[in-house]
Amino acid sequence: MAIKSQKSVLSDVFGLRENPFKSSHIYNVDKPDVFVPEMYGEQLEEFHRKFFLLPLGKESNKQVIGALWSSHQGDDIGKGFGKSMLMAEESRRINRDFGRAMLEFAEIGEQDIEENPILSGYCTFDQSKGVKSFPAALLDAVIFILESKHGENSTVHAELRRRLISKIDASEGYEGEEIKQALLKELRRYRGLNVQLTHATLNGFIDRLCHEDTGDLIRFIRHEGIGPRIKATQGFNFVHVFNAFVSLAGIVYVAYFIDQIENFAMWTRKQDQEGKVLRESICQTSPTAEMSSFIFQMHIRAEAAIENMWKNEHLPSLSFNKPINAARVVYLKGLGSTQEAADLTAAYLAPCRKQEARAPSPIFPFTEEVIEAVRSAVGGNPRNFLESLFNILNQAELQNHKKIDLLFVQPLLEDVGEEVSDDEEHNDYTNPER
Amino acid sequence: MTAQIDSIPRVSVRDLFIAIRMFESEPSTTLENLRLRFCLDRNAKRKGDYLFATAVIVAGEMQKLGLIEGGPMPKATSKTHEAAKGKVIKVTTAGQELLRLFLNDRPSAFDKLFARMYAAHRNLQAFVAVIQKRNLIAPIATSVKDHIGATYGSGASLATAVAKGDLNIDETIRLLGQRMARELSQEEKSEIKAGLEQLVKDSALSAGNEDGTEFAKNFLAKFNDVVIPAVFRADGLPFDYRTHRTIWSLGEEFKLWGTITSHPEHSGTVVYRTASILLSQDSEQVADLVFDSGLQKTREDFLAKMFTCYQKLQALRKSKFVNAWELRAVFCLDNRCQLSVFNRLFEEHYAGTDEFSLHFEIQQAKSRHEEPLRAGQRSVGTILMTRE
Repeated sequence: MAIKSQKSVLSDVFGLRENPFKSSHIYNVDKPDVFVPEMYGEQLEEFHRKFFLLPLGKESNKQVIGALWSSHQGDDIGKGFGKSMLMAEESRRINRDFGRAMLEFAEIGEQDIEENPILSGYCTFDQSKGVKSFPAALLDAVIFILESKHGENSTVHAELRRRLISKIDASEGYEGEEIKQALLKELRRYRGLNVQLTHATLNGFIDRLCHEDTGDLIRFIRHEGIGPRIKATQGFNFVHVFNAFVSLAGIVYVAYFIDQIENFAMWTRKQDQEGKVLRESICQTSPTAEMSSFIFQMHIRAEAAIENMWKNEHLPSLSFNKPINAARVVYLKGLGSTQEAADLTAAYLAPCRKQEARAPSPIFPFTEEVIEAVRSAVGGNPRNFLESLFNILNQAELQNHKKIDLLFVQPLLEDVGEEVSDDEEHNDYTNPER
Repeated sequence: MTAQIDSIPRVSVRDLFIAIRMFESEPSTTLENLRLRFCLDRNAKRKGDYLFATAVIVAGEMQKLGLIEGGPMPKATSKTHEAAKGKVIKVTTAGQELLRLFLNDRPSAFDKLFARMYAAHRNLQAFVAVIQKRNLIAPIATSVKDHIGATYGSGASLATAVAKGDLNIDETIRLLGQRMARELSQEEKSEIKAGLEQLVKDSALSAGNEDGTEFAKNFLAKFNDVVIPAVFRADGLPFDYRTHRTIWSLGEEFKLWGTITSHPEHSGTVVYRTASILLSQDSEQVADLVFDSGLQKTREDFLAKMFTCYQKLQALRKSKFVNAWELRAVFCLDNRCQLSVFNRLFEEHYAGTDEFSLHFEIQQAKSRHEEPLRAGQRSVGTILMTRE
């Protein structure tokens, strides 16, 4: 229970239960912040077009190897632009109805929508969770998809099974076993898929995938069945099996969004070997190679980290500055207008308003000019924007300042910048190269 | 014959500038404040007397250079800390001028400081006179087997030989001549032989008691103390080994000379000039510093120059993929540039051009003496270069 001070500008004047912003807005997939698609402006549509609509327009091979970039103009290294949130939260939205709402919004016909159900997964290289290799990361994306909500009360796993039961007309009480037989038959169709189907761990995975207990399946992948070594060495096999399973259930396309790829480059000891396995698995192995796209989160440091491995394996370039890549690359530029910034602010403020409070505008206690001042001070970077709003509200509370206007905000924005640059300069004692 | 004791204290240029910046807001400070500032810089504990000796040495050097005044300095040991920590040092007009330069025109501040150090230190003058004319090859011993004798395969076997007093000194001297690619003079041989005989005698006791690896490490350090002054004595550089090292690193900080340890044609450390030092008529003052092979100059046709070095190294090693830091060493020596210049230009050009393509393999083994060559965020192990 949070303590309540007797006098609070935040509560009494601004009508807020608490400061809606945080000191650090770093995306947490398990406890995401408010997702505000409007903050991406027209780039959300571009994201849908390039990573979903364009691939779905192709008949035989829908694969895209693409990248989601963010701005690094000026001194910005391209972090905090909402790439992770866009990748994960849009994936969740897509999984909820197998892409129906997005396709409807793009004015796709009903029959096409019905015939083209899609899925989307998100994963990240996370050392603390032991996710250090591509297969381990993609298995996390598989979990993400299976656990995702579908409809109001179901999960993607349950819905896929329901569709499969209906498709193969499985006998009641024997659904799991019959799905498994159908899946094994499907897997044997892929000649290039050198998977030992009798391998105990793989068999355990297939069993659980085909049976209804989603929790057991997740535990098996994450904790109990597939150990880190198997994940690293044979993890792609599980991804191929999963893709065959969803394909059997009628899914025509799966997009995998892969975050923090520079961590892979930092941790892996055999980068070249991993790169080779990655290329063979995602580009040369069916069904993955035809129905799955792989979209990597990129910023300038991430590109530098993987560049050599990428080139060595002739993987498609992910550079944002090559016009030829434009159809596979989305470049997030941050909050491009006051309206986008205001939409983002309002979405954070709304859930924290006191019931009885009457806000004169959705962005109260801020004004449009304050929002614009903050947006331009942080160069449109959404993370820095939200963190600045957090600090401004805290400062107002501390100083008992009842009106957040430019006069109050401007000095705060200026102070931050000056302090940082001065400190860096103060520690530089190098002799410049002549 | 003993090594001449140096007059150059073991200071870094960075520390000297950290100290001078302490006078930015007030004209005087204390040795204790200086110590604390160094602790802050190194992110080290501030309690006790840690880095007090460094503070005293830096203050002493600054006083010698005329940048501060503070009277006699205490001994640079922790014992004097309590009594001398409050000692006040004041910036002089020359110190203020250097501070002003540092804040407004940093390259000039570095050049000015070098000029002051040159004028104040005979050893530095002697070194500059030599390095301006030719490269120095320092046969620093880092491996027992390769540099003392092939029969000593490990630290333990060296320790056994030293304990018995039967180190094969003639073989060591032969190896030394081979590494320096010249016949050692009779004087050099005699000095080294006498020094090593004394070293073996002095080390006999510890050879029996110390762990083999630890003993070898200590023995190699003392070995270098004997050999390095001896081989440079004829050049007028009879300083002890540590003074040589201090001078080498000062040169790197001032960007005037560089050191490489991975050149395939030299078994040892090569010291080479990277700028021209123009002197006054009496050679006691620096008249000007000309960075004729600095960043700008080296950037011109960087990949073409690198390709020439690549071909040279490739012919030498008979392999398409060449070792990254060997390539850097060859490039830096041939083009007389600092390692830092090469590193920076390599970062700029590693993506290649239409004419030159570069292929890398990531670093598997570590270079023993040099920092890795980086491209992006990766350490490069070997390089293959092609020209369209």
